[in-house]
Amino acid sequence: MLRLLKFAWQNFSRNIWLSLVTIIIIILSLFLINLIIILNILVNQSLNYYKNKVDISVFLKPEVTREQALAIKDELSGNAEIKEIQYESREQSLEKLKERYQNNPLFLESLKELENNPLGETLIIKLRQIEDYSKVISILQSENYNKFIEINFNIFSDIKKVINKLDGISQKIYQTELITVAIFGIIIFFLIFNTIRLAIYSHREEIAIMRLVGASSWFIRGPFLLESILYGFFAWLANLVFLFPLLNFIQPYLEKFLDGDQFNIFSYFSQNFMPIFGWQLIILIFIGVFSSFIAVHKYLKV
Amino acid sequence: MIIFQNITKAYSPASCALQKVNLRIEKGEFVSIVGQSGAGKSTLVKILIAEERPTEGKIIVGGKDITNIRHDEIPFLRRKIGVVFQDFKLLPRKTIFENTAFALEVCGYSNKKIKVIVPQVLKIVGLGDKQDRFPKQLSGGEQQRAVIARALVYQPEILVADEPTGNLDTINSREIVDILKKINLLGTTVLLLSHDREIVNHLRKRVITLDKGVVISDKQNSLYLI
Repeated sequence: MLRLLKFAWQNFSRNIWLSLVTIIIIILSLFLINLIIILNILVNQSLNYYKNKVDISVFLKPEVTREQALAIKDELSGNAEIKEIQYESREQSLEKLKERYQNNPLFLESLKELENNPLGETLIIKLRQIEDYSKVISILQSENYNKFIEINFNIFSDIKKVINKLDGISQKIYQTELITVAIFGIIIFFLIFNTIRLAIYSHREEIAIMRLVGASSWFIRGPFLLESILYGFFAWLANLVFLFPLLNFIQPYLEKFLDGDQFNIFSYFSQNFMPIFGWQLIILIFIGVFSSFIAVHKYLKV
Repeated sequence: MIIFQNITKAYSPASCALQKVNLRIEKGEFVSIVGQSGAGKSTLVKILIAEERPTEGKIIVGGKDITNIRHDEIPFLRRKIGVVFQDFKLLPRKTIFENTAFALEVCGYSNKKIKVIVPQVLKIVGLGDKQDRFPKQLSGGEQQRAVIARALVYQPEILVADEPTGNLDTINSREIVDILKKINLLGTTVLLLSHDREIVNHLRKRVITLDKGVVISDKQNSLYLI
């Protein structure tokens, strides 16, 4: 085995330029794949960030009393889809309204004109997951609750559209990721295939002698298979060396972009090292061995 | 012992390289196989080392029928048969020691064994003092001796030399033949394929003459006839 590795290393180092070019192209492919993975993670992260901000404000009719409102709150809390419900009294709502329009004296004036607080009680519903949005809306639209609620349900269908659109974008990026991985997988396959083909060609004399002196077929083929593993491994290693400083570099910009959201891309990649990079190495080795195996069978008669 | 039984090799119905060849070569013999180019000498070697399969007939080497030898058994057959070709086939970027050691390396011998065997074999062929030289630093005769050394490292039962003197002058050719004789004296069966009349006549050993794929003569202590 050590000798096979020695021969593989000789193949690798004697065609050092070809080896380097092969590795550089694999590095670039990996780098691009990782960039798309980063993009995908960022989009999903931002989506989650905004999804978590989506809640449903249910404005109850003014005639609904505080007790009734709290009863509705308790009842709705029983639904599995609902994470929590905040109760906001009509007084609190009025304060908020005044605060919001503090720079609009005309509006404040007209509020004063009113004798009673025109607002009703408000329930702010936070969802466990955004996908249940429609479900909760239809619960609210049901007869039990509809009569208490003063609301234009059209507004919710707009929000639903936005959510669907964001999900669509996320889906598309994921599909792009898969297609990119597939395309670069094929590129790497042909690249290694060709490199091994050239290596076989440049070692044809050694191979002829090996056959003549009775080397076993795996001893002849083995170094070429190992060589392809070396390409994959070195490219993978080099990719890590480039990628982690880059992640470190973009982290501050990312924090700004996500509005102080506690998300660290560097530690995300460190924590998910095996699922992301472990698989990349396994797939690279698989592609390498598979392509060189085919090259060896096609061009190397033993 | 090598037995060719009714060996026929046809590359196409029109061209027949060997026709019903029957030969029996005993262990420890020195046999010259002669004939013009295209007489079928090289085909005979290729069948012997299982690079080609006969169209008809049976071939037995060391008591084992290798007519339909399994692919994974071929390496073991080839370790029993050392082969020397006219074109030297030394690796230019390896020294003579490394070229000889290469044959052992690729068959999984330990470095310790290699260090013992290689100098011994190089000494037999008279290259003991030139093992660190590269092929291009040696004369044609010396290069051919290095190839013989490489063929000998397994201590094969049979040594096949296919036109080993084809590229050499008379003096160097004699030297090579003397080495082959020496190897034969050590107990190895030697098959010399040649169309060099002078070499064959100098040997005075068994001569098998092939013409157009047919054995036309097989005599002990013979001369080159055609």
